[in-house]
Amino acid sequence: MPLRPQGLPAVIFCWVSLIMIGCGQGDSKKSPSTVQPVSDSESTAKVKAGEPAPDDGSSKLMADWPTPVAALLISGEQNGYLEPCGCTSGQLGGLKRRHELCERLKSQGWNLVPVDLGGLIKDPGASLGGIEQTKIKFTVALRALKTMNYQAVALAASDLKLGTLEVLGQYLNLGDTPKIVSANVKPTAGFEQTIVPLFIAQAGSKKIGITSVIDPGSLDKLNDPTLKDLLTVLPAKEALAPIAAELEAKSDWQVLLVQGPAELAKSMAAAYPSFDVVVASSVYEDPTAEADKVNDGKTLIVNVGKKGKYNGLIGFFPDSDQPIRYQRITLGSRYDRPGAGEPIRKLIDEDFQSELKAAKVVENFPRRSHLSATPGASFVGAGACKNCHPATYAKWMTSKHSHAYDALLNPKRNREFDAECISCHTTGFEYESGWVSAEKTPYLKGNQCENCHGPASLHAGDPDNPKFKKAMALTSELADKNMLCIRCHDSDNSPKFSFATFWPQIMHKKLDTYDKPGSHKGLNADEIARLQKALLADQQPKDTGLKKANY
Amino acid sequence: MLRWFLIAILAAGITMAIIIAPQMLSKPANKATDDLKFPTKTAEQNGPSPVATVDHEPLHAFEPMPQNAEGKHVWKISNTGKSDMELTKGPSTCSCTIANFKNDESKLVLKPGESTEIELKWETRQNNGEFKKSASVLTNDPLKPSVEFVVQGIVRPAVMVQPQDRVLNFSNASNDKPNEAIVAVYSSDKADMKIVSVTNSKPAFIETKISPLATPEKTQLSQKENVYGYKITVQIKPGMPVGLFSEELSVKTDHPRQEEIKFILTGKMTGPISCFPEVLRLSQVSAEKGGVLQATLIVRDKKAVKFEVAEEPKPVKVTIVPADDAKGGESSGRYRLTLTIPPGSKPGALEGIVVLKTDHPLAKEVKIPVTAVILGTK
Repeated sequence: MPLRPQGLPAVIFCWVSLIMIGCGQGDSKKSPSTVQPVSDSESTAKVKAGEPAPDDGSSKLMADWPTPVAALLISGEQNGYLEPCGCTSGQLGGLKRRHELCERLKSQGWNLVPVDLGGLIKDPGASLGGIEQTKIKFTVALRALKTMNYQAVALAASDLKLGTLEVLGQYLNLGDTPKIVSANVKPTAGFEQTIVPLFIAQAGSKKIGITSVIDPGSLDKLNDPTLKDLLTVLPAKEALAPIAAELEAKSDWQVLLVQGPAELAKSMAAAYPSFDVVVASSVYEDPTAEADKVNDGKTLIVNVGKKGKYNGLIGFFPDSDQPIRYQRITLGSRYDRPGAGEPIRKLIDEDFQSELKAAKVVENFPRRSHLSATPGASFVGAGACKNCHPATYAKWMTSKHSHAYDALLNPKRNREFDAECISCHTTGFEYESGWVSAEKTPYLKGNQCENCHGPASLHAGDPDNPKFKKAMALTSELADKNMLCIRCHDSDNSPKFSFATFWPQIMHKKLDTYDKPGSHKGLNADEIARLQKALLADQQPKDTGLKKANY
Repeated sequence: MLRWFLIAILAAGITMAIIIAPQMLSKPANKATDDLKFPTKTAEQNGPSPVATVDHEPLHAFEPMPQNAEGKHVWKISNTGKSDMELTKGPSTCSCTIANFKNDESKLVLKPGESTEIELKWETRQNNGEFKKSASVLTNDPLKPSVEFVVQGIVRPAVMVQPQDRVLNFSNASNDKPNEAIVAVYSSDKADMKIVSVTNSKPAFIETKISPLATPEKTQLSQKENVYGYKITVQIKPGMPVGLFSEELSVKTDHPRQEEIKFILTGKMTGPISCFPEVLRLSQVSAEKGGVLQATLIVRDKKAVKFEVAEEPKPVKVTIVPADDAKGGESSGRYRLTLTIPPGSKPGALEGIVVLKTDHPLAKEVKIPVTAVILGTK
């Protein structure tokens, strides 16, 4: 235990005094055993500023709060980030950490009611994993909420982008909780149990009433012809009136989840001051530390940001001075003790990955033709490029790009069937003749030449053909201007990326001279197949050192 | 000897008391919450205190910024109190530097009258849209234990687009009629920006039409500044093959800072009969208790259809009944499919296909994939 600076002089004074007393007329040459103070800076040296150190799970959370009578854990707009965002280290968020937070609060005797604003997935079109993977991810996200004993989830337009029928189909199988709540959206006959207007959760001896409203405009924007057949959308303000009254009559505290602009949340809070907590959608990824207070401080307006990096925690207290308290929780490495969130780890690392594999999400990914390629060109792999570009190939082989696939093969965290990961760790994924699987297209492992230059079969077969050469040509200026690298080196997966500093690490302009015999002779199919096998051999020995991707 | 023994016990007791007491008396700091806070005013701080004074509002709004740019803002924080002020970096959502800090882990002490600079940096990189980032500085000023500095603004790419995520999601589109969506491509700094070409990866089924943005559309896109550009109507023609699709649309412009913008067109083309969820997926079904999953069959144009289960993978049982929303004998075109894995089924992974025969003239057979994991008792 570090010694506090203010205690040190007193300790020394006491020791010296006592020793003087003890020594009396005795031996003044004997020195006392002294306490070695630990400086404050030393004691905190391993804790990064702003980020509490990982602990063993035994320290008390929210230690400066008395134990609340009931508590609300608020999450929302997870946007598909089941794990801490990105594949680099030091990121915030993740369901595993959230599970640990819930478990620790419950172990402290808290009556915890978790609720979610919805927005569990990213737009399936924008997701690198595509529609099929997003469907499975949505199921997994709902299952995770169930595992964490979530009580209610708001209906969100971003979730309905998966298709109203698909989403209702998944809600049908949710069981008792969590309930999907919406005061202003009513499902058609036969689907009544999928969306309910309100839910009252039991928190110890108290009751928390929960409902939500959704901005009708956000549903109008969905390009889904089945939505109008299946859901009746009402104006939020009118639809909420009877629900708010019912909640007030039947519960001790009332919570409103608002899927829509911040102004909608504010107007609902003003129109229905009975709500103690209004959860608003976030404009920004990172929420403010404080909640807004409206209705003379009676109602808290909370937002928890995006990507599941933060949660909001609300405590209800039998204290007339401070009946309700709010704390933004940062889901950082503090919740990473070994073994933390094991049910969620299993769900994501094992069940989810097994389901992706079983559904053959990567193999069945819808593929398209390559827009900038010469019609008829197909992906052949870097092995074929080596024939005429040996120096460029050698340079590539020293980069992490060449071993990107190996990073997915961690036995504890295998991601080779995860389309989101495959999309940046293989070559030609999403395109006809591009990556399919390790069995069918092993020569396309890693991030190879053709990911930037396009499919090369025609150029490899007729290297001096100017039309084929032109289709493959790409300058660094154009790559930078058109943000070619950003597809993978985005702000989540490569937060430190800048073209100016990363490009020199892989720069390969004019490394080859093309003066060797055979440089200008085209390759036939047999030669390409031989070179593809040689590539696998080249990739093999260097597997171990480059596995950790951390940009 | 006894005297030494008693003195040693007494000394140890006093030492422990002095070490522990202040920590018990004051509120726990670092372990109290996720967002670190210094203890609020405590007994031993009743005396001369530091006072944290910031030279201007802690929220700074940037002008609209381009991509790949860096913005920064500097505040001056002073100790206008009568004792030393300690500054520590608190929770941050951006790159934050505090002048005179040797590294992230150290504390900075300001003597009364001294000051230092707090600088927040924001790199726009390839971000697009609004941003708000903050950094907290923790102080031992009992009345201001934490100061949150905030920068906010908007990042504008050279060529802006709607939808911003560059995705046209057609969700469940019927392939017997045309499906349309609109994108906008515009700029605020090049009034004569031209669209050089628009190409797509499935020209046989995808058509595009370019037209200049009308004034109301421009106003809708931006009320704060003039914008110039075009809208592109994207039409998927009837006959597009049934199933998932993911196509690409490339728009080339003559803007010197951004020549090409790519959009993804994605979704699913549906045939006359669809099942939702499309894959009947059960995981972690108890072999002892069995499991049930419900799905909905949708028939286009609400036609009444007779279904017959032709094949079901063992041990699965499938039943189909009209959804209970049929009104007065009228077909709603919806049918409830219930898949049951009976109690006592053999544990293991299940992968198969349910085959339905129908009397629909354009869909005599419907195949629905089934996957399940049946768990045995441990």
